[in-house]
Amino acid sequence: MPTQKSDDWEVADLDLKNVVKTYHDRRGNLIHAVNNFSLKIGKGEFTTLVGPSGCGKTTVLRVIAGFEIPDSGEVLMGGKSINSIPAFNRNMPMVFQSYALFPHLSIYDNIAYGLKIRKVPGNIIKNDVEMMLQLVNLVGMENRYPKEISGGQQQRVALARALVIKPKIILFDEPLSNLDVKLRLQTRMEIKRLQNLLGITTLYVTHDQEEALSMSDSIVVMKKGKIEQIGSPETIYHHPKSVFVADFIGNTNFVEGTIESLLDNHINIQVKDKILKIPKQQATGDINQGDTVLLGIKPEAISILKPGERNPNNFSGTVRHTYFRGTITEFEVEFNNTLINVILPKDVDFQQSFARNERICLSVNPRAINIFKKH
Amino acid sequence: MRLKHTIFFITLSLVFLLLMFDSVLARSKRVTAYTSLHEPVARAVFNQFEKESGLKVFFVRLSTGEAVSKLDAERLNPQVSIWFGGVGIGHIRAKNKGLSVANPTTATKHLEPKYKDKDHHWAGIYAAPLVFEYNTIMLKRYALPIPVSWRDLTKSEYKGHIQMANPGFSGTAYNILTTIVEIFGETSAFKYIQALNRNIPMYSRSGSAPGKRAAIGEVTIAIGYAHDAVKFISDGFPLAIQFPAEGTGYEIAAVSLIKNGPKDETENAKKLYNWAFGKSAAKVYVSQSFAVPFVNVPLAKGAIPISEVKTVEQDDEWAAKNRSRLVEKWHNVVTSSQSE
Amino acid sequence: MTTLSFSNYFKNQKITLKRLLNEPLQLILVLSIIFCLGLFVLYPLYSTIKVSLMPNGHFDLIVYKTILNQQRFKIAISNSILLGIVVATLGTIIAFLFAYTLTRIQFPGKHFFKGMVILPIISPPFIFALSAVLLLGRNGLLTQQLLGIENFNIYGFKGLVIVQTLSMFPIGFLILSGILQAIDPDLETCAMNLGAKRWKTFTTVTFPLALPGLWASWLLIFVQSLTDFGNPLILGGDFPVLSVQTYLEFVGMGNLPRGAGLAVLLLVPTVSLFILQRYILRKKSFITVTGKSTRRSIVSVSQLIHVLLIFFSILISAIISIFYISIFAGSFIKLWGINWTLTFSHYIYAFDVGLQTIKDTVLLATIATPITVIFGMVIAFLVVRKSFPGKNLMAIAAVLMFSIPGTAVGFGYMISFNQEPLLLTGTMYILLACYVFRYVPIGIESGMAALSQVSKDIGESSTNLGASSAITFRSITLPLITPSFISAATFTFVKCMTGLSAVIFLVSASWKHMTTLILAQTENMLLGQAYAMSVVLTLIILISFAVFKNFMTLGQTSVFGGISHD
Repeated sequence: MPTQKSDDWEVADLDLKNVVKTYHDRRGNLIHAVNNFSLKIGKGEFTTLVGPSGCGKTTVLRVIAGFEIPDSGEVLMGGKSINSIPAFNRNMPMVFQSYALFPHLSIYDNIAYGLKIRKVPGNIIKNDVEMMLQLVNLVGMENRYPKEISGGQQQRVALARALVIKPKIILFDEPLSNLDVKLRLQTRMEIKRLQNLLGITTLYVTHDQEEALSMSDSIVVMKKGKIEQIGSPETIYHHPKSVFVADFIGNTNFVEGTIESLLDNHINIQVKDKILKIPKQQATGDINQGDTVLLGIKPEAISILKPGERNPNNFSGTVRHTYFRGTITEFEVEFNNTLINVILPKDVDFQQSFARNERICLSVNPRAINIFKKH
Repeated sequence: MRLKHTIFFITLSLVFLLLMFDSVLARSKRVTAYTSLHEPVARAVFNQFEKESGLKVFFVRLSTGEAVSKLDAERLNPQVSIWFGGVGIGHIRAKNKGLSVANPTTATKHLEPKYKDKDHHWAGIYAAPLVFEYNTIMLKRYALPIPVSWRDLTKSEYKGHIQMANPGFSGTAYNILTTIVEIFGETSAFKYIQALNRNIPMYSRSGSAPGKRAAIGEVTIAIGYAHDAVKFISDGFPLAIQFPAEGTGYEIAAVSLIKNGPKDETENAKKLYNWAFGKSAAKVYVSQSFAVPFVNVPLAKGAIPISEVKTVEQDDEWAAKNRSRLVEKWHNVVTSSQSE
Repeated sequence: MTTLSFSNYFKNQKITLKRLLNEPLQLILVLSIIFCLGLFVLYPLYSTIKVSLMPNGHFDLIVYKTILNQQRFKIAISNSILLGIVVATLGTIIAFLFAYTLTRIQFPGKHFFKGMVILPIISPPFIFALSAVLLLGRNGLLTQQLLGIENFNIYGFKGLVIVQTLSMFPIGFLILSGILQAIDPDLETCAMNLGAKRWKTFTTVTFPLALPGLWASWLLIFVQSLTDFGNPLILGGDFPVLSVQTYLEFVGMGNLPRGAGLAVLLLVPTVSLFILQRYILRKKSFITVTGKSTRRSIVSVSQLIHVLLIFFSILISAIISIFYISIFAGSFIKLWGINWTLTFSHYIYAFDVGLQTIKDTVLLATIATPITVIFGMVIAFLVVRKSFPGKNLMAIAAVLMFSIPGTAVGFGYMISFNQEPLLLTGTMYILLACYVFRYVPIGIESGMAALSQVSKDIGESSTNLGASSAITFRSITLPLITPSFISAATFTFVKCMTGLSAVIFLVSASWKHMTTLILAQTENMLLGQAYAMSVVLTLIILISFAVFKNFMTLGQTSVFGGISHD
C-alpha cells in the first residue's frame, strides 16, 4: 500500500476567469448556465461546488473537462490556457455520477483503459492496475464485469480508473448520489482519505451540503450560474453571507425581527416581545434602525431551558413534532407562526421527550445568529 | 380532443361498413373465371358478355401453366367455374387431370375436329402461330441480321438479345418448346435449348411479355404469337415479324368448364362457355387482338389466318402428356448451363 | 434438472393450473388462444412439412434428395445465400453510417432524413424493383437517356443487390439507431475524458457496444433478403432464388411436394437465425437503459468525417427519393422511354379495373388490423402478467410466425384449408387468418413493450382493491397502453396492405390484393398501370401513417425491426 504518491506524479492548479456558458431553452430564451464565473483552485486543494439543481455546477465541471466550450472566458491549468486543448488531451479524468464503466470490458480493462490509450507498456499497466486494485480494495475482482458487481464497487472502479493515470486534476460529478446512505458515508471517507494521501487537486460537485462540508478544503456555493459565496466549510457554515447560503448549508431557521437600535458592539433586535442582543459582526449587508431583518438561527444554537435556568434570550413555543434520530433528537417547535427546528444532542440523564402541543421554553445563543436584511 | 377522436373513429367505421356492403353485394349473379387471355382482351370480352347476359364475371388472369396448377391445387374445392382462353395443350392437361367437365353443345358444331376435344371437354376459339418478333430499331442499332430460322437464333451474335417465357408457367413458351422438339427430335432439341439459352438473359412468366418487351425496345427479339405482334405493329411500334423457315407451331386457344365449380354458377358458366364460340365473341377477339377466330367474321387488317402459315405436325395430346417431363428437363438444362 | 426440481416444476404447473381454473374467463381465453395458434400457426406448418415428406402417401425423402441434388435447386440455394450475404453486409454498413450520422452528428433537417429512411419500410415490397426498371433498364432514364450506357443489365444479381440493399437497409437503421441512442453518452464522454481521441473512442467504446446491433441488423436483413419475393420475381433475370422457386415449383410445375420441400428449406435458415438473434444475441447485449437523459454535447467526429457523413446521408436519401419520384413520374407517362406524353389513363385504369382490388385490399386490411392488434395485446397481457401452464409455449408459437417466410405461410395455408371441415381457400377468411396470424407478433411485441413500462404494481393494486382481471385490464391497463396499440395498429395495417409473398398464394377471383395485381401488371408489361397502382397503394399507406403518427409513440419503431419480411 503506497503511503504517498510517487514523485513523478505532478498535480496542477486550476484557474477560471470570467467563464460564461449560455444555451437556448425550448422556447428560445437565452439561459445563462454559467455567468461570469471566476475561481482559483490551488494545487492539492479539495474544492466543492454546491448548489441546487440547475445552478450550473455541472456545467462548470464540463467546461473544465472540455466537454462544453464556453462562450467566453478562460480556463487555465498550471498558468497555461487550456481553452483550445480538446477534451481528450486535458488529462483531467472525471468520476461520473453514473460511473460510466465500460460494460463490455472487465474491471481490469476498465481500469487499464486510460493507460492503454497512453500506450503504456503492458507490464507497467499490470503493475499499476494491481496497485490501484489494492488501493480501492478490489483485489480479486479484476476479471469481473461491471454488471456483476455492486454499486459501491462500481464506484471504486470508476475512482481507480481515474487515479491510475496519475492525473493533475481529478473531477467528481455527484459520484455518490446513486449509493445508499451508509455506503455514501463510507465512500465519502474513502475518497477523502485517498485525496489526502495522494494530494491531487480535486474539484467535486454535489448538491449534498453534508458531503461538501465534510470533505472540502473550500466550498463554492452557486446559484443560477453565479458564485454566491466561497469559503472554508466553517466560514460558510457559521458566516453565510446571504439568506440563500444560510438556507442551503445547514438547517437554518429563519425568524423575522425588527432592528430596534444599533449600538457600538451589538444590535438590538425585536422579536415578538423580546429584545435579542446580537454582536454586530454577525450582520451582513447595510442595515438601519427600523429595518425588518431575517435572523438565521442554526438548530444547534437553540437549547431547552432547564427548569430553574435563567437566560435573557429565551422564548417559548409549542412542540409540534418530535423526531428521534439516535444520537440527536430533533424537534419542530412553533414560535410566532413559524416552525423552528431544534436539535439537541442526546442527554442520557436528562429527560427529553415532550408531548405534542406541550409548551416549552427555549434559549438561543446570540453568537450563533446571523442577521440578514429582508428583501 | 376526445371528441375529435370519437368523430374520427365513427367516420372510419362508417367508411369501412360501406366498403364491406359494397364488396359483399357485388358477389351475386356471377361467374368466376380464370382467363389466360391478355387482360385488356379478357376485360373487353367479359364486358361484352356482361352486357349481353346481365351476369357479372369475376376473373383472375393467369398464364396457361399457372392456371392448370391452380386448378389442380384447388381440385377439392374449385374456386372458378370456367377457364377461358389459354393454350389448348393446357386444356388437354386439365382434362387428363380430371379438372374439367364435358359440355356437349351446338355452339361448337362449326369447329373442325382437330380444334375441339372429342369428348366435349374443351373447344377452340382461335388458332395462332408462333413467330419471331423483332424490334427494327434495336436490330439496326446492334447491326444484327434478321433471324430467319430456328437455327439462326442460336447464333452467338444474338447473345443477350432474345427473350421468351418460362415453359413451366407459360403455355406460349411450352408451345415453343414442343415445336422445337417436333422439329429437331427430343435429344437434339435439348442441345438446341442449351445453345438458345445462352442468348436469353431472362425468362418471363407471361408468354406475351417478351413480345411487348421487344415492341418497346427492352429486348431485341422475342418469340411469341403472331396476333400479339401484329397488334403492336398496328399500334405503331417498330416491330416486325418473321416466320421461321423450318416451320412453326401454333396454339389453339380454348375454353373449358371446370368440374365442381361454385354451385350457384354452373348455369351461368355454361352460358359463358357457349357464348365464347359465337359471332359476337369472335367480333371482340378480332377488335381487341389480331387473332383469327374459328367463326367467320371480318378480320382485322394484317391478321394472319393459320392456313397461310407453314406449320409443323403438332401432337397436342402427346405434348400434354409429356409436359411435366419436358418442362423438368428444360429447367435442368437451362439452370445448369446458367452456371457456365 | 434434478428429480427434485422436476417435481417442483410440475407442482408449480399444478398450482398455476388451479388458479387458472378459478378464473373462468381467463381459462376460456387461454384455451381459445391455444386452439387458434395451433390451428393457424402450427397446423399449416405441419401440413407443409408433411407434404414434403410424404409426396406419395408414404414417408419418403425423395423430395429433399432431388432438391439437394439437382443443379437448378442447388444454384437457387447458393444464389439466395450469396445474395443474402452481400445485401446484409452492404445494408448493415449503410444502415450503420446512416444511423451514426443521425444520432451523433448535428445538422438541420434530420426529420426529413428520418422520414426518407422509414419510407421503404412502409412501401410495397417491390417498389424499388419497379423503379429500377424505369431508371436503369434498357429504356431507363439514367442508363439510356442520361448516361447513354448501352446494355446495362439491371436484371439478375446486380439489380437485385441494388434494389434489395436500398429497400432493406432501413430495417438495420431502426435497430442501429435505437442502439446508438441507447448507448450511455457518458461512456463516450468518459473515453474521451480518459484520453481517447475520436477514432479510438469509436473503436474501443461505440463500436463494441453497437456490435450486437450490427449482428441483429445483419441477420434480419439476411433473412429478409432470403424471403424476398417481389424483387426477384421482377428483376431476377437469370439469377434464380429459393423464394421464387417455391412458387415456381408449385404454380409453374404443379409439383406440390417439391414446392413444400423448398418452402421448408427456406424455413430452416429463417427460423434458426431468428432464434439466434432473439434469444442468444440479445443476452449478450450490453445496453442498459439508464433512464437519465444525459447530454451528448461533445463533438465526436472530426470535421472531415462530419462532412463526409452528411454528404453520404444526403446521397442515400437522394437516391431513395429519385426512385420514388420516378415511379410517381412514370405513372403519368404513356409509355416510358418510348412515348413521353403525359396521361391520366393509367390512373383511370387503376380506379376502373383496379377499383375492386383496391377496395378488397383496404377492406381486408381494415378488418384484420384491429383483430390482430387486440389479439396480440391480449396474448401480451396474459404472457406478461399471468401464469398458466403452457404460457411459454404459447408465447413462442405466437411469435414463431415472425420468422416463417411468407412463402411458406401462404403455401401452408393454401394446402391446409383446402377441404372440409376447414374450407377457407378462395374466401376472405383465409386472407384474414393469414394477416392476423402473420402479424399478431406486432401486437404482442408492442403490448409487451408497453406493459413492461406500465408498472406491475398498478395492476396489482387494482386487483388488490377487488377488481377482476377483466376490469383491471379494461380500466387500468388498456388506457395506459393505447399509444402502443395505435403504433401496432398502424404497422399492422401497413403490413396487410403491402404483403405479397403469402398473399400471392391466397388471392382468388373473388378476393384480390393490390400487390399481386401490380405484379401481374408488371409481368404483362403494363408498366404505367403498375406505377399508378403503386402510387395509389403508397398514398393510402402514407395517409394512414400520417394520420396515426400523432397518436402513437415513436419509440415503437423498434418493433418494426423484428418484422423482416413482407
